[in-house]
Amino acid sequence: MKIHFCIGPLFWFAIGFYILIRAWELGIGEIRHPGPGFIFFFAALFLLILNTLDFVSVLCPSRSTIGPVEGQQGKSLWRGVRWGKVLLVLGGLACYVYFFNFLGFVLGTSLLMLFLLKAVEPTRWRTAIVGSMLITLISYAIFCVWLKVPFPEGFIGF
Amino acid sequence: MDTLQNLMFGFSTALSANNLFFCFVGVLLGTLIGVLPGIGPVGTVSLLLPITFMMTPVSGIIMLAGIFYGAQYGGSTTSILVNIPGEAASVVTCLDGYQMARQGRAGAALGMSAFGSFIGGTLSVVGLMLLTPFLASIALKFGPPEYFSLMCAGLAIVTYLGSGSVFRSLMMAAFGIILGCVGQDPETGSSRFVFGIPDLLDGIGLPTLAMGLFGISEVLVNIEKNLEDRIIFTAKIKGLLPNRRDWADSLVPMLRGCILGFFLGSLPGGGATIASFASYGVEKKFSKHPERFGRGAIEGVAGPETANNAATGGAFVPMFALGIPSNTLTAILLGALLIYGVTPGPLLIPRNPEIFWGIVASMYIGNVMLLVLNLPLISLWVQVLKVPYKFLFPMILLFCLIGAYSINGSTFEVALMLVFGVLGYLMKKYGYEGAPMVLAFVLGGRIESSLRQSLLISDGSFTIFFIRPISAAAMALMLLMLLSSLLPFIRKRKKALPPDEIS
Repeated sequence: MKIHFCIGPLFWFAIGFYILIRAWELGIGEIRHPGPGFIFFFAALFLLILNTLDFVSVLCPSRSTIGPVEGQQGKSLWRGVRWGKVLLVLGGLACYVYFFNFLGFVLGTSLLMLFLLKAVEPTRWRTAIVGSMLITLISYAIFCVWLKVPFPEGFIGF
Repeated sequence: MDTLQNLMFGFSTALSANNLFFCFVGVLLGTLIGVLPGIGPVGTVSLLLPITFMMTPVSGIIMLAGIFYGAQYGGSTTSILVNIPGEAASVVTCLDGYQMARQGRAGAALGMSAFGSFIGGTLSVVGLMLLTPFLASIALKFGPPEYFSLMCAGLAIVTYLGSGSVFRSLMMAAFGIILGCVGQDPETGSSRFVFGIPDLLDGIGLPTLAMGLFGISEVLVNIEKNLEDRIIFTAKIKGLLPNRRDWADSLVPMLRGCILGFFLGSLPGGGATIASFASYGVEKKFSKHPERFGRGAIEGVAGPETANNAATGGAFVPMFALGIPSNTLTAILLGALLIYGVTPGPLLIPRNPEIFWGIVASMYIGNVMLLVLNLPLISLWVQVLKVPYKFLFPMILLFCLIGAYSINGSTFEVALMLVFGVLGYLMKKYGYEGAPMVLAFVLGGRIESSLRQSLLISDGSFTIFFIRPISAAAMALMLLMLLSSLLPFIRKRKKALPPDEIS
């Protein structure tokens, strides 16, 4: 049985059980006077029941009530796709968020744009540098100057 | 008479310099993202939502609505010229529109598409204007049980009509309700699933969720594919005005598309995509020469393009009249109205007439703008199509990052948006739909409050949902949808439709 058939259902089992337990701790109250955990408890229960039915349908596709789902045909979801590029982009975005207050909007955005323009597709350095500066300048003009969004200045002071 | 007077009032609101400007920006942006594959109207509306907080509610919704129906105009351009739909509702236009382009009739296809969109959009606004006040007057009789039942029925229909697994769609709806209730309990004030993070006390923001789930995830999905060269017809496009024969062939399909599109657009789970497919099927069925379809039949362009624009007007009817969105995009618009402090529903028109009538009037104006924009600017849109995606996606990501940060001036919102972006990407990979989640998220708080109020009224008895006629009808519909989905010998395998408003 291919492991990727099970990843989705296992993930939702974990989420569902966690919410169920926390909702119980919050207190579901009584039927005539539902408590703060009421909607969470029953929504999580509904989620778990449906997930179980879905998991069964994944394990026994001939008795499935659903249409074909990506991955059930036996193809791997991660072959022949550039998931490495996706990780690279996510890494860049995560670093941007982490260092945003320290670097400030202008420097942080310029570096991020340069990284994104170079990381995914081959782009000449000159094009990437000019492109990143242009995008940063235009977004600064729109958001900081016109819309007055208060971005951090960072250690360089603007 | 009242309707005309209200419409005049609406025009006085929509024709202000500010609102005209934002209407123009909205339709222009909508056309642009309709032309560009890789980003759809849902992602764009999510992206621009935080910016609209700096405008008045009327201006904000005028602009966002303009993006919605503008995208339907723009999507047909790429379908006809490149055989790639700019957005989901233009998929079916590829079938005959591209063939017409190959036969040297790109101009006629583009022209008829623009006129069909104009007719569909304008007539659907007439329907919106007439039907919404009537429906709102009925909805004044609704109480918490009716609202709870209708919202649940709406969610059930959305999942039934979705393109993937029904189990998974319902799961996403349940998870959306959970996400929508995160924050402080409105009755007891206790914190629910905030994990000690003060930013979560007011709940998860709709812009954060929507930008992550649709904006960021869409970019990630596009990045993982190899970007191919697109073959664009660069021959001079001439003769944008359809001839008499084209009009004779297209008039009745347009009228049929209008009625079908408006009706399907107003149903929960319906929308522009289903309307365009349904119209194509109907036209092929009614045609004296069905063998021409798929080989450049102009009816195959006129009918679906009219239907998908008519659906946009129809989609606003339940949102304004009942406060219940029929698709993802109107769910986001409803969330936006709630953030502005305006509650859509039966009391919207009496309390905020400038919002409803201003938006209706702006939609008339917007459709005229779109007709004027689309025909002469086709050569510009062709140039835009040539912009490589490697230059577009950094700007899309930056807009998302800025939008999320500008909500509270906090990097927490940005980080949360990235988390939803990763979740949306993985959901797309593993076959879980985002649309039911967003719909349920927007309705989550109201579902909980109406359920609690109903149980208080009935002293804990669930029969309250079955003894009141409107509530009972909605419950019966919901149960019918769920049973027919879950019983294997009734449920047919569905052909996968592209998800609505997500390209």
